[in-house]
Amino acid sequence: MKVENSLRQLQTDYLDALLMHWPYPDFFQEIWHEMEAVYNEGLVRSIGVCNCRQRHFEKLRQTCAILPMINQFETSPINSKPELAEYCRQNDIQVMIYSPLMNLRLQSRPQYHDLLQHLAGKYSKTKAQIVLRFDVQRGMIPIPKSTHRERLESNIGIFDFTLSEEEMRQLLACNENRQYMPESRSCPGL
Amino acid sequence: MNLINRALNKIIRGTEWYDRYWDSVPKFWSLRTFDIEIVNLGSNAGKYDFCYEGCKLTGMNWSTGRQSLVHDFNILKNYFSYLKEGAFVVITISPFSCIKAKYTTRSNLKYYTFLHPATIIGFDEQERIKALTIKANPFKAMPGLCIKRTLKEYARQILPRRKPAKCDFQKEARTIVDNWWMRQFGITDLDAPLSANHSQDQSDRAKTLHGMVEFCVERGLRPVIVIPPVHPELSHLLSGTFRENYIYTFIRKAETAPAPFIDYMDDTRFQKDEYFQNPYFMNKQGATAFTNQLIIDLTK
Ligand SMILES: NC(=O)c1ccc[n+]([C@@H]2O[C@H](COP(=O)([O-])OP(=O)(O)OC[C@H]3O[C@@H](n4cnc5c(N)ncnc54)[C@H](OP(=O)(O)O)[C@@H]3O)[C@@H](O)[C@H]2O)c1
Repeated sequence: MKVENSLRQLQTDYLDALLMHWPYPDFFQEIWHEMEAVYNEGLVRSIGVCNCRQRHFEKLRQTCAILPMINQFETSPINSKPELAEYCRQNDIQVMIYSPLMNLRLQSRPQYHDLLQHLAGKYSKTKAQIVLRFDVQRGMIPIPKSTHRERLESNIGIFDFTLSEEEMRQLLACNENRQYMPESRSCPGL
Repeated sequence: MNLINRALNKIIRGTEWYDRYWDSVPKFWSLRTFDIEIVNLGSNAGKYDFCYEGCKLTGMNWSTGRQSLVHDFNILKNYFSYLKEGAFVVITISPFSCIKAKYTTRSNLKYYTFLHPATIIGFDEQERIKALTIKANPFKAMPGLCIKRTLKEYARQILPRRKPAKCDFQKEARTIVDNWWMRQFGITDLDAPLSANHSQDQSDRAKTLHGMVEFCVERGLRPVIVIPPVHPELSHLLSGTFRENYIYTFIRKAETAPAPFIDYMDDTRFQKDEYFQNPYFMNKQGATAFTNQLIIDLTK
C-alpha cells in the first residue's frame, strides 16, 4: 500500500478518505484487510469502497473488522438505485457519487429533461445545479469534476435553495436505470 | 485518418461480411441498451437459434458464434451490468458443450475487441494490438480483403439471386455427426462411455456451468439452461445413451439448481423443415418462433 507516497506527494500527514476503486473479484477481501491496517495506523480518517453492491458488503461483513465507511458509485435521478441507497443508509455507509453530471449527456426520456428545465427556471439555477442539489438532499456527496473555473464555482453554488419533497419525489420517479458507466465492463465479474 | 479513409471504413462497417469477420461481435461495440430482460449465451446454436425481434421482452443474443462455456462466462462477467434485475440468462447447451474444443488465434481475435484483457483466454499483447488496429481502421489494416469482400457483397445484391438449393436434412445430419463432431472430438462410437480425457473435460466444464449459475443467482439474475431444437433428422442420430452420457450426466454433475433445465431437442412444435437452415441451426423464422415460445414458457 503506497499511502505514504500519496501523503508525501500531497504534502499532508493524513488523508480524509482512502477508497478501493473496484471490488476486484479475486482480491476484494485481501485488499480490504490491508486498508483496515492503514486505517488503524491513523494515516487515513476514513476508508471505503467504490462500485459495491449489497452482496459485496455482506461478503466483507463475514471477515472484516471495519465495514466500509464510504461507497462511491454512480447514481442520479435516472439511475436512483433505491435499494442500495437504503442499504447504505441503514449501515451508516456514506454514499459518494461519481460522474454525477454525466446523466445530463445521456439520451433519457424527455420528461426528465423537461422537469430539470422547469426546476432550473423556478430556482434560477442550471440543470447541473438541480441534479447536484438533488444528490445532496438525498444525503449523498456528489463529486463533480470540471476543468472550467466558472463551472467549479457553480457546482458548489447549490446551498442557497431547497427542492421540495414533491420535487424530490418527481425527480426520483424519473428512474430508468440508465447509467453512464456499466461497471462490469471495467471490472468484469465484480 | 483522411476523409476518404473514413468514408471507406464507414462503408465497410456497414457490410455483412465485416460483421461476419468479427463473428457478430460489433453488436457489443455500440451497446447502449440497459435493463435488458433476457439474453442468451452459447456457441453457434446460440447464435442461430435465438431471435428477439418482436418479442415481448427486451432481449439480446450474446452468442458470437463458436465459443465455449468459458467464453460464455467471460461475456457474462463483462456485460451483466446491462441486465435488468431478475433478467433471464439463457445458457445454451449443445450436444458437445461438455467437451473442450481447440480455438485458434484467429477465432480468439474477436475477444480483444469487446472483453476486458483480464478475461481473454490465452491473452497475447500482439494479438490485442492487431485486433484493435483492425477495429479502428479496417481499410488501412486489410485493404485487399476489404475491397474484395465489399465488392463481392455488392455484386451479390445487384445480380439476380439463385434460389438456394433445398437442404437434404438426412444427408447433412449425417455429415454434421460424422464430419463435424466425431472427427473434431476424436469419437468413434457416440454410444460408448466417455473417454478418460473427455470425462475430465466434462467435470471441468460442469464446474464452469455451476459457476455460471451461481454467478447469476448472486446477482439477482435468473439462469436457465436450454437445449434448443434440432431437426428430427439430427435428433434421431443422437440416441438416448448418447444424451445420457454427454448431456444429462453433464447437467447433473454441474448441480445447476435452481436454474430450470428445458430440453427442446425433440419438441414437436419445432420440427418443420421451414424452421431450419440445416439440421443443427434454425433460420430466422425458426429462431423467432422458438424464442417467443421460450419466453412464454419462462414467464408463465
Ligand atoms: N470510482 C469510480 O469508479 C469512478 C468512475 C468514474 C469517475 N470517477 C470520479 O468521479 C469524478 C467525476 O466524474 P466525471 O468527470 O466522470 O463526471 P462529472 O463530474 O459528472 O463531469 C462530467 C463532465 O461534465 C462537465 N461539467 C462539470 N460541471 C459542469 C457544469 N456545471 N455544467 C456542465 N457541465 C459540467 C465536465 O466537463 P468540463 O471539465 O469540460 O467542465 C465533466 O467532464 C472524477 O473525480 C472521477 O475520477 C470515479
